[in-house]
Amino acid sequence: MEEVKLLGVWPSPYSYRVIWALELKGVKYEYVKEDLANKSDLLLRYNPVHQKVPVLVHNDKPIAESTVILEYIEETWPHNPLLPTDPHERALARFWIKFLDDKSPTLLRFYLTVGEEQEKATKEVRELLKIIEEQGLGEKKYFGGDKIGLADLVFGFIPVWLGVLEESAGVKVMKPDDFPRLQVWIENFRENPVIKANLPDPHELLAHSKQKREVLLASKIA
Amino acid sequence: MAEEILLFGAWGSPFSRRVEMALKLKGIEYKYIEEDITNKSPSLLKYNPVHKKIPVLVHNGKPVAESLVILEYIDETWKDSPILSKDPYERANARFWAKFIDEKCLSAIFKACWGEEKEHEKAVEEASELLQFLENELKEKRYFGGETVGLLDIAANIIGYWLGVFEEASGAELLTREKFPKLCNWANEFVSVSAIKENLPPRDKLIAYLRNRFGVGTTSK
Repeated sequence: MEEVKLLGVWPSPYSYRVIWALELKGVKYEYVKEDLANKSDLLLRYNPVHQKVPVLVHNDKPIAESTVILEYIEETWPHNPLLPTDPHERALARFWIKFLDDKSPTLLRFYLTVGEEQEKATKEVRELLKIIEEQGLGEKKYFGGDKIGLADLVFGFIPVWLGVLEESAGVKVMKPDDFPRLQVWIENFRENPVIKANLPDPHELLAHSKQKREVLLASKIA
Repeated sequence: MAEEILLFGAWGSPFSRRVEMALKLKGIEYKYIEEDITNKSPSLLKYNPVHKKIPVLVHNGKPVAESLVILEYIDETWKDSPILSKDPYERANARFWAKFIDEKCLSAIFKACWGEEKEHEKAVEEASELLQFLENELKEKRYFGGETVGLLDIAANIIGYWLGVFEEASGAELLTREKFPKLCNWANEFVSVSAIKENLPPRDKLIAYLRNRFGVGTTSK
């Protein structure tokens, strides 16, 4: 019998990527909530190298690192494919997945700063969004092509978390007329029934983001 | 249809050499274009506008960038001499450790070789902890890939060859036989494989380049 467990933390985009992939493929799994301030023995056993979430445990075999997990899910449950079949398109999907993760400090900086530093950071994230829209998404409906794929799940940070971070930081990164194609993709992403049914509560997320920002900024000044 | 395979690379870069190693292991013919990263060619900028970096593989006009992404592309396109197992769990394992090498090991190794003197001992300790993970992962296998060189071995080229060169260039001591007997054995095996051996930048040239670029290192006499 198949046993699939997912160790995750609630507000983490990395955990949600895996949840979305499992849900899109209709894989039954048990979600295990981790407390990063008090890591379980299970987590330390299953991810001794990084001691981080998410970790997927399939028939007692652990897989760590969200993008590695996504590829594992795609290969183990190949129905409802989340990667294109063409090797070049697959390479592009992987390229953009890596791009977003490598750029995460730039994506978050505006949220972690104030004043002049924040102004500069806001400008940088807007430049990033431009590259993402023009070169990543291009004319496609989804990053994955005609339908939602792994790259979309990774870029899911934008529809789900970016707005919340903007509100917490009191800064508008994406104004209403900006990035029209990206805005359409955001709508399509959020309207996907599986995604829609698996979103963090926006009010809780906002409260959490605001509080986290206060704590982080206070620790910087100290 | 005639295949056209171009590789934009740099002679000293382990990332660039990874791609060459994979192509050579699979017996794929390609045209190599050496890039001067201080004076990037219009072609490079055209094929990798996002990062403007090497390596970039261009297959029948279609570019692929990022060395690990290229390795996966190569394995999916040319099925002979596979560099990844068919088993999803083993594939995940190889990817996990390749990511570990790129995201954690390289910067730690650099810090240990060319970091600040007062941080040196700590940097060596941190790099050693990371190498220990790889030592443990190797177990009794000849290669990380098992009986034959795989994606993880290729990704670990930094450990297999460049690390020794960094050590010589900077005077740092990291990959010792006492601490890492398995990794040392693996490194010897790795650089002996002909497809690998043919793709290693000359040691002296690399040492000179590193010293010129990064200085003589924290522990150099």
